[in-house]
Amino acid sequence: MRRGLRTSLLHRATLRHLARHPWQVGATVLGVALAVAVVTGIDLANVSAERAFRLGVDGVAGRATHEIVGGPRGLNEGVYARLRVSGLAAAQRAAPVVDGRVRLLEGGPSEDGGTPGRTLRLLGVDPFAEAAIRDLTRGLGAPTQASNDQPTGGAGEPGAGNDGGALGAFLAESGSVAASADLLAALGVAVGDRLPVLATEGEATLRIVARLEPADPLSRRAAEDLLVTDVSTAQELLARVSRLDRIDLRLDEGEADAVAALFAGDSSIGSATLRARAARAGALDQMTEAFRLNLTALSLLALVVGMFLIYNTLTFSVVQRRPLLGRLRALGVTRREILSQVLFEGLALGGAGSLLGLALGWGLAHGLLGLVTQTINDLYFAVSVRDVALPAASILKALALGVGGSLLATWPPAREATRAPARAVLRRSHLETRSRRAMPRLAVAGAALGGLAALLLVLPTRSIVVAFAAVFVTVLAFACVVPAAVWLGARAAAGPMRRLGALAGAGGLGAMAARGVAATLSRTGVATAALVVAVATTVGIGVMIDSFRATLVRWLDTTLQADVFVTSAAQTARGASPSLDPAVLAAVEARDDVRFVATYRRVEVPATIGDRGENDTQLHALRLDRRAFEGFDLVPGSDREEVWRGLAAGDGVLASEPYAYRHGLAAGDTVELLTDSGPLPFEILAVFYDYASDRGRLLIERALYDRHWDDRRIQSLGIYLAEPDDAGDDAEARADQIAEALRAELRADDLSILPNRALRRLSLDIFDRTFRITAVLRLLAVLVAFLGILSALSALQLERGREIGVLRAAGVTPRQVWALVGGQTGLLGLLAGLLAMPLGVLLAALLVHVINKRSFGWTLAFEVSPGLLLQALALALAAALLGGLAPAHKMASVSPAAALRDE
Amino acid sequence: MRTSTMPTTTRRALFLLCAMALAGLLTACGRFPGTTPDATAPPGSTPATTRSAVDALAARDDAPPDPRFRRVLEPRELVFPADHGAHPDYQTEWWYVTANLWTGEPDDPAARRFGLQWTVFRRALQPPPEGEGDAADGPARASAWATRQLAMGHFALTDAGVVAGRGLDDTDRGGTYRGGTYRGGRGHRGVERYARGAAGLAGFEAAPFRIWLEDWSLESVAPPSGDPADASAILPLRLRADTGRTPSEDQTEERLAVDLTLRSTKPVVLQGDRGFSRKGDTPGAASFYYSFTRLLAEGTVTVGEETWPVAGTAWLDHEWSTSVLTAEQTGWDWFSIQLDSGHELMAFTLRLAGGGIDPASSGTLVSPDGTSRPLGVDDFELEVLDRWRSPVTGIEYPSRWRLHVPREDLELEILPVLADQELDISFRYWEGAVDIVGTNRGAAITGHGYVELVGYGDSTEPNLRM
Repeated sequence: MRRGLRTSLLHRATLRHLARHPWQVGATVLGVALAVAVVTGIDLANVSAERAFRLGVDGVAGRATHEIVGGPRGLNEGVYARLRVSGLAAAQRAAPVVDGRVRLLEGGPSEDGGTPGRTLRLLGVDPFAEAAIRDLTRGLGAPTQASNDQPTGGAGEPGAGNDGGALGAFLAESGSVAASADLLAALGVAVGDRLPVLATEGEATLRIVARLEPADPLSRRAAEDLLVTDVSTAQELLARVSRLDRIDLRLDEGEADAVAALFAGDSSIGSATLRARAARAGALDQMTEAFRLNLTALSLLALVVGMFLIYNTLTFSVVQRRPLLGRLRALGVTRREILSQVLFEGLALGGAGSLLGLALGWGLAHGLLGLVTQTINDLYFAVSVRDVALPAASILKALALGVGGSLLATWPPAREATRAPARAVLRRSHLETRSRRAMPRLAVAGAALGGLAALLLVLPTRSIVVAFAAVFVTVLAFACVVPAAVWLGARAAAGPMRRLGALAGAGGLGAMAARGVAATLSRTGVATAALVVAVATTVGIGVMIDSFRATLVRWLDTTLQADVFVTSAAQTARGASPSLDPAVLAAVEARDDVRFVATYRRVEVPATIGDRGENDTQLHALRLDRRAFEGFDLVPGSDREEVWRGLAAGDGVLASEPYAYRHGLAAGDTVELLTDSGPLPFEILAVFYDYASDRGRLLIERALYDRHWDDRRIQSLGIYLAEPDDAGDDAEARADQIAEALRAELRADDLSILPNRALRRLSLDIFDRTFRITAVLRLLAVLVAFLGILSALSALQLERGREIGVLRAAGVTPRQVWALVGGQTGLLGLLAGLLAMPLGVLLAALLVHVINKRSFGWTLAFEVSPGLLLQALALALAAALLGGLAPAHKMASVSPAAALRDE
Repeated sequence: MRTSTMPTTTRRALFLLCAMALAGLLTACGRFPGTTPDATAPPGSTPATTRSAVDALAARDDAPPDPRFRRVLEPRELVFPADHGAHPDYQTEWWYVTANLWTGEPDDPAARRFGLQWTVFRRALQPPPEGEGDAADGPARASAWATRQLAMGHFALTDAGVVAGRGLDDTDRGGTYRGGTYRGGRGHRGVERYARGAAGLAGFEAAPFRIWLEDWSLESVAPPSGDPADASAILPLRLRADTGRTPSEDQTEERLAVDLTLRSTKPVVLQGDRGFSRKGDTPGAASFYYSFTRLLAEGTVTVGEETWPVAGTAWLDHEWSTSVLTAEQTGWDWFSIQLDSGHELMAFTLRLAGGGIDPASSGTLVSPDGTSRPLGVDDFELEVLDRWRSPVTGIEYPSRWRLHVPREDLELEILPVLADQELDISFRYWEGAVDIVGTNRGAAITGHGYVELVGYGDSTEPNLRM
């Protein structure tokens, strides 16, 4: 009975306390919710993108264990027939694939579907070979009669109403495609309808001849973004006539050798390589791993800020209730009960915040998904994600982080509430004393953590996880030092603040504000630490983006040497850029005002580096002259002239920095590339800075490329103009003129002719697009910080109601109360902002020099703009001042008597 | 026999259409039956049967063929070598080889007995484009994969083993009858393949003669000296089929392979009227049809790890038409018989739904000198002596027959070398080697042959196997 009374007293006291501070409770829950939301949102967006990619790969690869791939121009289609007539049992489990993309154009049947512009995968298959590999094509036999409301396909219409049905159309009529019911519904079309698309070979009209009924969920998912067509149509639309992209195979143990032997050393069919499929899917997955890990780690920074907030709120709430808790202790409530009560509070707040955060994160993920996939599409490969997955693992992760983090943050204040003797608990001074005594210990801990961070950084590893661990330890180390720094800073500020106060006519209140900050360290310390971490995060990410952009701008300046660039306008997706008509090159070269035309061709070639197995390497074949070679900024250590001579003489290739970093290569090493006449070693003459792709690439001079690969195609031109007669001519204007003239001369709608300036703008646009997700993360961290600071400082000041009441009774005017509160929060904000700068710059340095290098292999110039730092300072000040606004207003307007009665 | 006014169809056109209609196209091998609910079905209704995805391919059983296909309307002179190849403007066509093979002399009781069926079907998935006459394919397309021709192959081998005992009632007949029971063989198995008639995957070429589906091929190995206008100039032929070599130990199914050379002993037999084989009284109910009724076969047969040299006799049919199966016809029984006397007999009966035989049923008797005589529906009688129920499909087939040709005083008993020669692929039917024993004008006579039984049980329904 007695125990029950005690407990209920404790519960009621707690509830009452929480009910009397709804803002504080609300802000805490919101803080936790936002932090969890950021982590969850990023996690879900990542998981969804990854899942979509995996499902796409698995659904399309089906049961394939191996694949045969060819050289730069794809695989000779004769390889498939040769395999099929080989007499190998494995040949019956082989399926040819032509794989590409088409973009939907206006004019389709759907008015409201909003589908134009959407890119769909076009998978060309042989229906007769599919069953052994995939279940995608089930239902290809669906009758060509369309649904009830759309009768199409009369006897006179080709492909409809005849015995061959969909299959006949599939094999015989170009443009016949099949799609899943889901996709048809999403596009708002039915069997029999036509779809105008932009394909590699220009505009085409597809006709839907059948509805696919994929059997298993995997195939169904893969079919959501897939138009299935016959090899014949795919070859024609994707500029792959006489070529395949690959042959998928399902091989049993021991069969691979016999299959590989069919093509080994036979140059008559060009290059054909058999390889295990698992390795390839893994490589694609690895490509985005660094990117996704970076996003996750950045989102965790938001959680760190969130944890500081919970800690702050609960410490604060305990501090506020110390008298109450003391009285309860005096009434016989045990320490254990108080401990569990406070922990329960933390759990409740953390739980509520986490649940809310989960819901917010789910919503946020929908927004982030577009950004994440945009970046993946721009940087890596095309993936289309239409829905956000909500796997149980992500929910658990979010709850564990939110609740676990809350409990962790609750533990110190909960212990604090129980530890002190009942008498001492009643006195605030005890806490402040303890808190100040703890300060040096914290500072020492901070120094130790700093040492640990340094140790983590010098570890001889390339692990991104270790690098991020170092980042987090650095943040913690700094946070430990913050209270001491605030104390010192506040005391140092006392003098200037007094003068400032005197100037403002507030008498000694200025110094009072400064000393108040130092005197209430138990609360201000944590709040400031939270503010410092939050602001530093924004500084760090901001500086990283700035550095990246500055580096890119400089790189574009170097790289984009040509005056005008010509490429096909029909680029539907990465890697699918069609080749240029040789006539275009001839026409450009024939012009008087053109000095030199660089040509460009990008292909994927299987490469072997040492004993590390095979990878797909991007090989860029360029026709260059000495002047165009200026576009390559070599990593120090190579002699520029010597490298140029070697390159021009066909002695070797250049490797981009990410390529060299990824594969541990340096100038002088060799890479084995699969040429049309088998694997051959190529020496790396030099490494060049390159930010075009984090996968890295090799660069080969065109003559050398032509010697080893039977591929005459070019994909784009870089036009160098002849020097003008009158030097005063504006180069940019001339480039514009020539571009205009070329457009008129070539009269080709399918060409994209861009002057240097426009291409550079385009490149930067893409950069900005890919970094939008990072900028959003930064913004979210700011938001969490802002809310946290707001709530913490509001609570802090409101708690001082009694103190202010005394001051008011002593004659302090409302105006002076404003100044006092404002001065105190402002000082906190200023201190936090100042402290955040070194940490922010340190974080940025870690992100730029360690994380980026390890993740992507890029060397970035470190660029700290004063504007960004000022911005951060303003942010901290604004958050702090805004946090003081409500309490200042309340305290200034309340009568001294009421203020004194309160509490 | 009951007279029918219904349009009829050729025996193998019927077969082909059924097979094509039901075979798994995209679901090749028939192992992944597609569910293709009719798009016009009311929402919520469940389709009564889940039909194979090859519905696409499917000739509707009750729909007339597209009028743009050419039809076999009247006799014409067959022209060689052109008519050995494909006739792409007709909807269906096949090259059909059956063979009885032994590892030694047929008389040798230790000789291992094999039966072989090798067929490549061609089917036009779309009618020829109008106004382009015999154009093999529609408007020119850039891709070599584009085609409207589909190839389907069936390859079945019967490994009967050696004779285990004398025939059922050989004591009554005496002589050299070997029919009866066999032991030690590995039984019968059939496999199928599909491919487009393009991209180097399958083709039907007249000169040089080569019919092929991947590595299953029937091609002329004749020296180029003969008169190409002579149908026999393509002989000898080389026939090959293989289910595929594999190094893996734990094969689920044994490898089957044949490699035979087929030599001529008799001139070509033009079935019906100069190769115009009438199948019914409506226009177009006919096919062009010619046969090599006795080819000497020599080569190898492989089952699993073992390969045997073999020799025996083969039979080649080539037939094309544009016809459609009617609902009244349920199936057919087809017999190709090679008697040791040097005679060959081809006969088929089309069975009607209400019982009875379609009057279009007919046959041909080929004498040792190569001359042939048509047999009308009234010229032969067929009596079923026994039945066999497949333990796999549950379908009951006739299993022993008495064939009587009164005009020739010929009475033959036809005995399957194995009861189970059922093909359980995307279309179920029975096609197997048989032994013949009987009398001709009182004298004992023996022989071998092949029998095809189509349309028993539910075999016109898709073969649904999950």
